[in-house]
Amino acid sequence: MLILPAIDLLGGNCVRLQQGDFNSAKVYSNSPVETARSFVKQGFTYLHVVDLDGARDGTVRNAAAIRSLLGVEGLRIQAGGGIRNREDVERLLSVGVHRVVTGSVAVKDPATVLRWIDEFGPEHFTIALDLRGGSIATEAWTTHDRRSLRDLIGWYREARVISILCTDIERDGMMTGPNIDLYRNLLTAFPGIELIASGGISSFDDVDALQKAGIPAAVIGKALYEGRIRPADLKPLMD
Amino acid sequence: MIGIIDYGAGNVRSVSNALTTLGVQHFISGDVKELRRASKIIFPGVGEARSAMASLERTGVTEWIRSARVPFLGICLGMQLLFEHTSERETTCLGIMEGAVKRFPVGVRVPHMGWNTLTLVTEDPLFQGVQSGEFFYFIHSYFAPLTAKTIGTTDYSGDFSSAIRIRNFRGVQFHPEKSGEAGLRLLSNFVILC
Repeated sequence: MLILPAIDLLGGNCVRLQQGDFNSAKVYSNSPVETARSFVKQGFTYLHVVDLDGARDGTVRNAAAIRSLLGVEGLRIQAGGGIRNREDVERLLSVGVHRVVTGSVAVKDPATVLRWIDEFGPEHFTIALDLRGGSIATEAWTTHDRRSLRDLIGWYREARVISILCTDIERDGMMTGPNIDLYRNLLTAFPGIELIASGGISSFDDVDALQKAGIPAAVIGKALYEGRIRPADLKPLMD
Repeated sequence: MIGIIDYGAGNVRSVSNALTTLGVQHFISGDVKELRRASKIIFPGVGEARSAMASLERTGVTEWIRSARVPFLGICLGMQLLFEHTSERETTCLGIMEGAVKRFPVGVRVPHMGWNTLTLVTEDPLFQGVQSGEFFYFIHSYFAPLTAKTIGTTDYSGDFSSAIRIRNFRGVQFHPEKSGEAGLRLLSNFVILC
């Protein structure tokens, strides 16, 4: 199983939010590079980086900080937050980001994201979907019906994207345990995707349950920062 | 000269009338020998996919379309047939575009009939002078997926491809020949610019 520690960047600091609420931001470190180094020391090889300033402003804001993270040896990074146009994608990939995480734009404007995928290659994209009760939760999506979730993932699969990050926003940052049924259903519907579970993972048992359910990857944030999950315990689960 | 493919099912007449309105010389034919002489091709379509494909196979037109190098415009069913497959009577199509055409889901009123907006995804000579958000006339019950070759989208219970382009092949789901000024503009762009 691939486990990606999360680094959320806000004003140069490494923070965590609760359910996406900026007012709930809690600062865990003012040196994201140091944080990344310690993750590497603990055996992690891939980070999930979110540019929260970018997400709020609708354009990449923390490109410099992301570039400095890429200076840490033995680390690959997927990064997102605020990706709105082709230049944002190009900027992140050109500094060495392995995968660009496209969230709301991938839902609101799939035709455009499909063109970027065609240009830069499907291996450089993670499609991030915020789900609530098994449906897409992005604002612009609420008027659309349920067939759209299946179509949406289907279109990205046809474009040969394999990495799909699903965040159960009701559980994100709540440490209430992941929504394993949701992930299992998605894997049944889309065999072969590298499904990345996110939201609510708060104990070793949660990660263990995800691994036993065959979920290929997971993002862990708060539980690592607060010491509820010990990296050493995760080693047997990681490949 | 513009050749309009006649395969028994298409709305050949209305496309021909629109070209006449524009003063564009054209001919209508289902014969590959004649169609080969066209400098550009319009592939209209109203009707049902399976019998359309059968008729095109019988006359050898499918094979010729796949190898065509001239600018090509599929309209409505003529666009859908460019894809690999349609769930309309589970029909194998031309396979020029990757992806499968599907029926609108249960609960969505079909056909999708009337005026709806075209959102432009990328620039294309076909769209010269056409604004994103312009209204075009639609009538269809099956829709094309979004792909990297989508150049325009329309929202009907979710986005679908309403304009596509791969190499010399373009397709539009709406009927430019029934879409007033904007439609004529698009047709004349095809004739002049593509």
